[in-house]
Amino acid sequence: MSNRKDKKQTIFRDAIVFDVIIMAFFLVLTIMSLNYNPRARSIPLGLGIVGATMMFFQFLVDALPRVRSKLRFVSQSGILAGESQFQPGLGKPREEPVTAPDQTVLSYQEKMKSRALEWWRLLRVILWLSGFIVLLSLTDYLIAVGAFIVLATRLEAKETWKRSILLGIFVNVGFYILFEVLLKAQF
Amino acid sequence: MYEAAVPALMSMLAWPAPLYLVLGTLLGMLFGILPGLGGPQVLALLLPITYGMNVDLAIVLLVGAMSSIAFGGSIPAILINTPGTGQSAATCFDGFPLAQQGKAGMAIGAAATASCLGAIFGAIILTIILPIGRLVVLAFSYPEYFMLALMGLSVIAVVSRGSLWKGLIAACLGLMISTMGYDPVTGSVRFTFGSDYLWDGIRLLPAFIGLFAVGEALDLFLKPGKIAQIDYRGRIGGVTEGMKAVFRHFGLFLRCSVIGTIVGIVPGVGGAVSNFLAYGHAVQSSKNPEDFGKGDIRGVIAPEAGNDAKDGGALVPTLLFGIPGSLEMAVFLGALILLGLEPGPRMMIDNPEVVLVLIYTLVAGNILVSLIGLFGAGFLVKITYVPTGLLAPVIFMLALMGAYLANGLLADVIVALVFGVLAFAMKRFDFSRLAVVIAIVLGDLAQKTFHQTLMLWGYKGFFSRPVSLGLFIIIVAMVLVPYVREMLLSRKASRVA
Repeated sequence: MSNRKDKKQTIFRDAIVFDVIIMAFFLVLTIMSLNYNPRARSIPLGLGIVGATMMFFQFLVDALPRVRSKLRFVSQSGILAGESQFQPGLGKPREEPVTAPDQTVLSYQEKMKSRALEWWRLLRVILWLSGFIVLLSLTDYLIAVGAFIVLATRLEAKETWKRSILLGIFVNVGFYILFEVLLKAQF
Repeated sequence: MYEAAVPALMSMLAWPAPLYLVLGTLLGMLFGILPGLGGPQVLALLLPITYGMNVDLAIVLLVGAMSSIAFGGSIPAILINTPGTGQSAATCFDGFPLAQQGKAGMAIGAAATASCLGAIFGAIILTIILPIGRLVVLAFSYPEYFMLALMGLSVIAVVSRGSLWKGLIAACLGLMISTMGYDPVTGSVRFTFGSDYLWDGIRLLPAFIGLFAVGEALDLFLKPGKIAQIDYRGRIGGVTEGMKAVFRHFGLFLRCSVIGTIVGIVPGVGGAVSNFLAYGHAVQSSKNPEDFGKGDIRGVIAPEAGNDAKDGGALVPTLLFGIPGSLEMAVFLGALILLGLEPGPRMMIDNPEVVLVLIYTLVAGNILVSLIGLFGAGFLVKITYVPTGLLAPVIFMLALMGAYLANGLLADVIVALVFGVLAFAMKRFDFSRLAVVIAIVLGDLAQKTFHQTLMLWGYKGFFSRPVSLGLFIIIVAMVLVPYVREMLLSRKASRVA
């Protein structure tokens, strides 16, 4: 019963969110382009309408699996889709060469949880990088770089303090040589 | 063009060009060895360093890096069954079994020789084809350039291995981004959102750094652990045996080099395809295909010849038409624009010496990386054992400081971060980054030539000139081909049923 439900519900909400964001981008720019003179708006208006429409169809396919069979053109692959799948000597599909961890089949809920965790980690990394940008605006770049390397590798990547500090020193020395000595950069 | 041959050679040999060649080659090899990183990343990181450099030195550094990626990626493919780049994936099939049999040296010797000679083959074809640029200049005007830009975008979307629909959306997105800022043809300032920074539109440098370096670093950082799953501890000997094998199978090597060059010439196809096509040809043309996959040296020679010959081929549309053939070429094209060069048919006429320096560096870089690989492969592969948690932050800092270096603007760093997140999301949801990049690069050309055509001839200007009309028909045919093919296949299937 839960397998049938999982199969039906192969909707990844994160894909839908991305579709909506891109569609909104196209729509906002299309509306803004109406304020420009006719020549200036011709290309962005046309692109915006085409892009928003195409993205809308993509959104429908991602959000409503039943619609997929009716809008088959949206799932059409390029000419070279699948050409690299063959086994040496026999021309049959080949598995990935890298040894992967135990491939247990994940249920829909587990897949969603795993993806949510991944997006949460991404958000944390973006916050770290934003912190770096703020520090860069307030202090010297070597302080910002050193602080980011030490703190991000220790607190986010869970490396030891020793490794993090050594890496921070190594990177700072390397950056000093590269930017100040070799490139004579003015920050 | 050939009258500049000797001055170009002198430029490449004059100090400090050889030093830049060595640096570029080593960096490119490093990035080639590390899975998840490759040509676009190393070029994106080198872009800010080449800002303000002498053009010839910048070309030597960039092309030196680019030329060593393919062979760099083959080293972990052979030793630890993990291709350093997508264009070395097929090398795993027979390269790793050879390493398991204690013949890693033979495999690396064959890969190094096939790579080097394949690259030389591609460079020779490039040198022969490029002077055709003079003829192209006479036939091309604004409508033809517009159609060419459109064709470049269509080809990328159509030949992609993912969804065609998503490829076209990505192309639209890139074109939309390219409309931001001041447009000199119409005199309007578009989509600046009240920011002075956006008057110049989205700058190529931070966009590329974000799309390639930051995006990949995000991916690496979110995958904890080491890149390599296998620890290679064997000896690397028998290299000359592998080198001789290339000459024993010289016919195969030549055919695969031709395949690689042709694949490189077609925009948007990329190295991974040439690698597999060449390998597939080796299997299909063999009298004993069952030997492949078990350590047949031909299974190393074929893909290596293909993926290095493609570099010379990929430079043909990039230099001749300003249409990049792959992600690497898209970044390289951006680099040429930032250096003040204008890729396209006029490049051969205006900058023949630069073009020849490029070709010489392509050959020299491949010879150098093959030599380094022959002696240093075992040591270099240890880089893949570095945890991603240590590697990714360093790449973040290199990338963001590179974006900051160009103009000293924090806005550039923010743009790099935004594009990095976009690249990560696009990868997750199978949207083509190549289409976005090429659209951003070609967007300016497309808009300018569109308006110039309208001003001179109106809309009929696109369809009244034979070359422009011919290109338009090719574009329409290319976009429709996958749908028509699908329709014919499903009709055939229903008839059989």
